[in-house]
Amino acid sequence: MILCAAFLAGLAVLTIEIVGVHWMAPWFGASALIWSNQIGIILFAMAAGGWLGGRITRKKSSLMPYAAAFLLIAALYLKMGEWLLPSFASLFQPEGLLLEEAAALFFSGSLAASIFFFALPVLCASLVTPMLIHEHSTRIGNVGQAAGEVAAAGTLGSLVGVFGTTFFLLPFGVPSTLFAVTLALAFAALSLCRNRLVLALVGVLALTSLLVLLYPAPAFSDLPSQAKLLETRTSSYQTSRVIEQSDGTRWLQVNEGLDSFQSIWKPNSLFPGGYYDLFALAPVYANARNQESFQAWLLGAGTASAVGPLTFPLGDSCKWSVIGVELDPDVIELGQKWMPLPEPLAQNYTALPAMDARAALRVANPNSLDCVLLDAYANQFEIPVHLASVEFFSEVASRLRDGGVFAMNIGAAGRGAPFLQDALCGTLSQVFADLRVHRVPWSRNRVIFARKGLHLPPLAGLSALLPSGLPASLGASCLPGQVVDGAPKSYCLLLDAKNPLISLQWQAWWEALS
Amino acid sequence: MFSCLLLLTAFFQQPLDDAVSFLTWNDTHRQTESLSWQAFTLVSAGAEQEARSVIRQILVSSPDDPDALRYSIELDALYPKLHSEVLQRAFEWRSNFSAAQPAAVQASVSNMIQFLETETMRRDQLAAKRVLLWAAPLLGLSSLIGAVYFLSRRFA
Repeated sequence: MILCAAFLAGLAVLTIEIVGVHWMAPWFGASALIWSNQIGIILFAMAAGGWLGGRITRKKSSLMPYAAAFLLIAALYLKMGEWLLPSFASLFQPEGLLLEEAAALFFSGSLAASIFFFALPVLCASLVTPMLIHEHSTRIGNVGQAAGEVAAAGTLGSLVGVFGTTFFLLPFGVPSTLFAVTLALAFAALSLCRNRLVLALVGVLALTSLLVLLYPAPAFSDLPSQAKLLETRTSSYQTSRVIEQSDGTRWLQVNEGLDSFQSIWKPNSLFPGGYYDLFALAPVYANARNQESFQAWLLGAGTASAVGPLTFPLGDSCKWSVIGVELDPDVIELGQKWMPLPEPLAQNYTALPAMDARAALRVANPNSLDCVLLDAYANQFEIPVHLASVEFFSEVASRLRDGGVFAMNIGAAGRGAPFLQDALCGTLSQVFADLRVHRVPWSRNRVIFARKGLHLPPLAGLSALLPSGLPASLGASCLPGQVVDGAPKSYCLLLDAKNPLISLQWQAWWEALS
Repeated sequence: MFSCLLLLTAFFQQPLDDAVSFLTWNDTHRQTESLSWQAFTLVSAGAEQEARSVIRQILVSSPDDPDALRYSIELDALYPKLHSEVLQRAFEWRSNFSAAQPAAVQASVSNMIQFLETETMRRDQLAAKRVLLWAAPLLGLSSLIGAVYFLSRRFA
């Protein structure tokens, strides 16, 4: 029973650590900094719990009732947190908060939420370990063996917690995962002791669980004003939702919502607006308009918002195919359900679910693609570092035919933006023959185009290359004042082994706030 | 024949119809248009840098040009840091020029003022939240340390 309790306590600690980030993600995201906050606080709580548990074993003779009570307090606190965390997190997300203002609040808010909602349960679950070792050693008569066995059981529990949470529990949602942790802690407590206090605490826990079940906390941050929620899903990766604005435009939002979206869909239009419309320049720059066939990959496809603009310039006789790589299968399903492509486009579009963009691209034949688009923002702030390095850009170039075009969206505001843009452009210039940055009208985004082996067509004659029917704003983004041609003179080179992109991006957002 | 047709089509197209019309207008017709029309078209399409350049030209020769001042307010409103100043300019614009403007323009400026007021208020509220940046984690950490201390005194 002691080893069973150690196993369940270990399982609970790691599950709390992982589910905690997913639980906070709708408000604060799940970036590297948020994970660091959570891991740091959990480790601090474990250390404090170990120290405190050790001290308790010195003073108390009958330890198991205490251990059981602490485990139940952890479960109870976690259950109450299920109610309180949304209100607490909302304090850090005032109404109308814009993405570029949010970075500091996200960092601080996630740190505070980790401390308030996860530190105490982990502390309580950790402080039973020395008690279990003490009790076990009393029974078997060997401290070293007892410590080893309890530590092994706890670590095995943590192992099951890690894999079980990610692969099994989280797809059922955060509330189900929290319920499983609560259950594990309650079982651990009951396996140690069943006195009146423990049974009373179990009763309170059951009552609290029932109340939480009857009156569940909101699972996502507030909706933008005048928007309607169509569907929310939680996967192993993130929480996603589709919302509809008053004009019928639909947004796919992932984790924290704010004023931004991962994909956008407009009824009866191939052009969703914003930076997506600029992807229509990719086939033009690749000189693919009058080709018989056209192949493109979309990395970080979301619900395939870029497919309409990307294929619009192609001729009617062109046989095209676009492959979209998307990490989260739920996003693809939400897209097919709520943000469907028009039928002719849907026939030639293939979504590859559950694939990392870099790994997936290696499947493409060398020198075969006309365009590769990268739109893989993670956590609203971060371009994943493995998708922004000389090595990755070289892999992209190896898949493009000569004259093929790579395009990527970057979003940045404030004084840090030029550093981010320069780092990406400079790194791209190591691999591609020519590159150009277009500012997106009325937006904080820019789109970088880089061409393999050949120069991009000059801006001056661009109107002759474009088909009619593209939005006027796309024309505006092609004026000289909206465009930066070529590589910067000085920049920070991004490598797989040394990639300061995260700090560059956070610097950009942090400065925007200050 | 075909090129004549294209020319005719281009002639009847408005610059804001699509990207090609816009770029064609920019390449071939823009310089012959009035500065005011240029500013309107560039602002409407979102060509911020070019629009600013034209607006500057207008304001050099005519510092009180109501259209140029209005476009300048519209463009500056894109930058949250300028909101307070832009709001002030929008109020001044309304008191100086509004009466002589068409109803649609008056309504557009009123909407802009409403947007800027809401934004300024929202940013003030956000500034008030900044105390949370440091207070919340510090409070949490001291509570945690306090809880450990309490438990160590109570049970150990």
